[in-house]
Amino acid sequence: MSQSQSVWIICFLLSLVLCPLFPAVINRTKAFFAGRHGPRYLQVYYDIFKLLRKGSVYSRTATDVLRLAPMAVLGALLTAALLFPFGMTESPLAFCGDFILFFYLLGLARVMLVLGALDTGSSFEGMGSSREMQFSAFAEAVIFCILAFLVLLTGRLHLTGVLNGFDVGAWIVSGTSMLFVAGAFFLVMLTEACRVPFDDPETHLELTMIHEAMILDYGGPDLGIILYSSYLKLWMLASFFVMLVLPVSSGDILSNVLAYFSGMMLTAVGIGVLESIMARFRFLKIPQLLIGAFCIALAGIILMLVFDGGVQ
Amino acid sequence: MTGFPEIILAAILATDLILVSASRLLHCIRIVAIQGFLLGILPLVLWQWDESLPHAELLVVSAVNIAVKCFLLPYLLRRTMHSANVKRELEPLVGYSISLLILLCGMVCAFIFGSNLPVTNFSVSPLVSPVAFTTMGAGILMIVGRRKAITQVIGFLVFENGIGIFGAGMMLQYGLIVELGILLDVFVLVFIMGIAVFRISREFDHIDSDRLNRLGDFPAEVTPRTGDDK
Amino acid sequence: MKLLYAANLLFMCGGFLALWTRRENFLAGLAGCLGVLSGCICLLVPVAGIFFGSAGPVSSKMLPFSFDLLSAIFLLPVVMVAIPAALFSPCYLKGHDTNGKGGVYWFFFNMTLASMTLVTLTPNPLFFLVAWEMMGLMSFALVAFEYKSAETMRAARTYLYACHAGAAFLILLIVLLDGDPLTGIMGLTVFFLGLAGFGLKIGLFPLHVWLPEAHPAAPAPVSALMSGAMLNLGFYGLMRLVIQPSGPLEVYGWCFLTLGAIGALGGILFAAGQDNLKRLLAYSSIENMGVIALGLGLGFLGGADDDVIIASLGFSGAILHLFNHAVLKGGLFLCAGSVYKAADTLRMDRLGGLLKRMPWTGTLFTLFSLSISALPPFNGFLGEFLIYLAAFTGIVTATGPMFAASLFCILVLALTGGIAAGVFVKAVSAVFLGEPRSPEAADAKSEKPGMVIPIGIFAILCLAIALWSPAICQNASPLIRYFTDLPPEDINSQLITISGYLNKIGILSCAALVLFGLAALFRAFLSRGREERTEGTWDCGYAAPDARMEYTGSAFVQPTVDFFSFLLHSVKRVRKPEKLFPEEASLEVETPDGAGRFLWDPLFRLTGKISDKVRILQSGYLHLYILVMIVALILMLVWGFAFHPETSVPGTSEDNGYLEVQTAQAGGDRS
Repeated sequence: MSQSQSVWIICFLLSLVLCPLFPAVINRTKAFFAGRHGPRYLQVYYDIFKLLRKGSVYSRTATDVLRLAPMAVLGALLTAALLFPFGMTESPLAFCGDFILFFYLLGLARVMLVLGALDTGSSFEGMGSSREMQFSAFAEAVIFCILAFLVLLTGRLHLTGVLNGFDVGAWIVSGTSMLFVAGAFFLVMLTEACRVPFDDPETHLELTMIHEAMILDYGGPDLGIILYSSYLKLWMLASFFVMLVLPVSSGDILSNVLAYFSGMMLTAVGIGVLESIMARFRFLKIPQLLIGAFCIALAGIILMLVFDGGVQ
Repeated sequence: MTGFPEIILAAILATDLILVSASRLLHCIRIVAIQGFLLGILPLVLWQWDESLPHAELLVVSAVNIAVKCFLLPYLLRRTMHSANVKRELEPLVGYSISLLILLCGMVCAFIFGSNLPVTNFSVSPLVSPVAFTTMGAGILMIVGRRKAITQVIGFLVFENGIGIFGAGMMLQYGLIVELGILLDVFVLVFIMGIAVFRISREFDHIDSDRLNRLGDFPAEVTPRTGDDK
Repeated sequence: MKLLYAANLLFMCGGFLALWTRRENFLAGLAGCLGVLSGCICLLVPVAGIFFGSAGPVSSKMLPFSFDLLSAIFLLPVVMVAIPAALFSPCYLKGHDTNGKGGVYWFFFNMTLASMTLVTLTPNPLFFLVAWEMMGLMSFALVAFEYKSAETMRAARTYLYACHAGAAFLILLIVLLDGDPLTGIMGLTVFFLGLAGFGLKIGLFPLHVWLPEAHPAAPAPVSALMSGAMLNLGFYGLMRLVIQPSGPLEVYGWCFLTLGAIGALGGILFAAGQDNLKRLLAYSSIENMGVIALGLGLGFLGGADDDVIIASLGFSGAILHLFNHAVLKGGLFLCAGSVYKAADTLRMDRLGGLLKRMPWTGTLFTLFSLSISALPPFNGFLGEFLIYLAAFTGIVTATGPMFAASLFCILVLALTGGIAAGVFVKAVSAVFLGEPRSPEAADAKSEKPGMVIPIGIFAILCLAIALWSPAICQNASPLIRYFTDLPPEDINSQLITISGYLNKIGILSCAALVLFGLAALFRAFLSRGREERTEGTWDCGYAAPDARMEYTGSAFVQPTVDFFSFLLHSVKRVRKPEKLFPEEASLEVETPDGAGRFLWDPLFRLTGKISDKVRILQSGYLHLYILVMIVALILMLVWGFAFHPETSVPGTSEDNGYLEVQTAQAGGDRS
């Protein structure tokens, strides 16, 4: 177990604990823009604990799928987190092709959530689920395009290698492609994590919800687990983005970790800013936006091939 | 060119012309009988022409031919005619005068054609090939141009007679077997056709083969005819 | 070898016995079932021997039969699917097997299995063709089980025509094959003929049009058998007869890649638009066959590029996915059969809420659906993982066309995976979740153990494949060695690495299950002493929710289907609500097959028009026929005379004399 891998354990545990802070920072940023004070940073934790202490009400229409879905989601996301190189360290469980497993585990989490939603037989859940599945199909294509770019850039085939495999040189040599790909992933991250401009986490109109609509019939501990899972997913996607953008200075683990956490905070602030200045797009525009992201990612790959070649 | 074979062949040619233009079935049958008789005599001519051929064979061939083609087959045809109650061929598909003209053209072609065949050296007379082809043509004309099934059978008989002329008029090695084979063929056919014609007439009240196309999956349009008769 | 003969004999005996005793349904069922089971067990021994043991290929001296690894690879899915399908049939057929139909069904079932075995046993092209045709005929009879219904017969006829069209191509193919490897234009022609003939069976685009018709029309166990076992035999035929190791591997690779991509994307998109559950599953089969073709394409391209990693990943991924698909699709079709027996309809917009009445079937269907959407930790993920990895390796190591192929493959797989998840969520939710959408669904009968146990067998098989996947992948080694020129040690080391990956995935899957269990425990701990009750669905406070307000399956996929309408061309029949207080309105959406509508139907209509014109010759007039014959004869004679004037020269009585004349006048005039 190398030093990097031991640090990974620390980062992994830190991430599990700190992930609810991410939306807290976003909310504080949005409040700042709106001229409000905003909720406490730890309010998110209090909300989750409050939910965990409650009883639960289940729909009569629902079967065990509804009851099991939150646990399945959490399980899938935790397993995915085992593969993820938090803090730009090395995951001990990495193997060739593990990014495929990672993103498909995220897909499993999404499908379980959708199945739980559809189990209630409510039309709002159906609405949210159908939009979610449509957007996720396109988002998957974009993600894999970005993964192809990263594999081409670094020549490595696992998540750890792909995200930690390039240094400042990559930005200097193939800056434009990196910019394109980073932009594309930012858009995909917002889609998958259900933030503006794809989905408004604060809307209370069911007709305009995607993710929120799917969890309408959850309450109590189930809702707490689902909220925590969504925070974990957001954290992981944001980490991916941060590590995509930040080059790794090899050998210096501490500075990497520090850079990572500051990058996360900056990203949270950035998302907050974006949420404050933009409104949600019309649903019909979202596939077009995702296809645009796909084209940008593809352009990044082509640019890389034509001008720069791989940096290994 | 006025030897014995030539006279016979010319007579056969005349019967062809008469057959093609006859409308009364009884007449047709009689003429076919005469043609059969003439055809039967033709091998005997070979006797005169070449001494090397076995006489017995030629006699047998002649006798069988005459017996079948002059007596047996016309008798079968007459019987079929009576049982199907047919007397005349009215309104053939190809009219009588036109058939005659076509046959004349055919005769001319046959003469041009027949004289160019390499088998002329073997034949009794240079008329054999043309007459044979003309007879075959007459037979085909009757098959294609007539409506009633009996006439088509007669046409087939004439066609086979034409082939028989080839056989009878040439110095062929195994002429007996060929002849008997053709004979068997014709006999069986006429026999079967007799039965078939009887059945057809019983089933459909007529033996017009052109109306039988309505039995098919995609029948062509039926041409209206005047004077519908058996 | 003897066991293989014994298996065939057992199949045939079982079949004939069932036919003989068809008046008594129980005896016929028993005979048929026993025939199938005993035959399959006989087959398992040699297959397992070659697969897991180290038995070598066997061949018979006198008869043209031989059994090697390739046959074993394709025979194992047949056995795996046949046993549960046979166990499922008696329960399924109860009530439908009047008049001795049950015995006839078992006869054809056994004969289909026998012919499938024969197909894998004969490498001789002629006998292969005989066995292939037999397979088509026997399965046609099975598809036409409900022969009283016009719909079923139409579908069965389509299937028969497709089989025969395939056989026509195969006959041409076999005529051209004469033992020596063919190169150049002939080799390519042979390959494309084989692709057409076998592609019809596999369901490659655009020859797939019979699949969505035949599978819904056939009884569920037959659909399971066809989808799980028979489609694969198309690949077997291609590999055995058509693909030459010395041939142009790039051409093979690119053809498989393109056809696979089109099939995968087209298949899953059309699956999204279907209302009938079995049609959806049939289109999903087309998609999975496309994925297998993608894997094979990458394998061949890797072989052409001398890249061991890509070749081994591609081939092993394709084979693993083949196995997974066979078992998963078998299970899914049997579940669909259970649904049909319970609710009497397969229209998903009329089903719903069946999970309460059929808990086992529903759970297994959900698990199978998750697996076939290639979601970990289930077994369906493994095959696609290997194909993905092959493509990503291509991105790292390859340049030029191979790179483009890899990128293309990745994008196609990602898109189809995303849409496939949506399609199967639609299937599960429309059939099993929510409230019943029609009286038939509300009155659905509960499941019978006789139908659940075979589906459970499929689930156990899935688990087995997941656990033994490294061993299955190792068996790709001789295949890769045969088709490509790569050194065996490299191939074996690569396959060991692949097994390592699969083991890691297995470990992580177990970790996922453990974490899921821990989360469930945590949740159970949390709910100790807390109140738990059930209410109606909140639905944002709706006062009187109705089952008709639920999202239907078509509504669920409507965004996707509408987005891809340039490909799907769904037909919408709308009757809009009028007036201020609308009384009636209706909306019907249908997605008929694209290839059928835009390629084959116009083509067949055109052929019909031309045939109508030509039909004039077939007037039924005897005279016309005879005249045509005579004219042809005369023309031939004239032609003979006009173009061979030598024969018309008189005076030369014998051939020899003619020749002597010719040579004597060598220098002079030549005539």
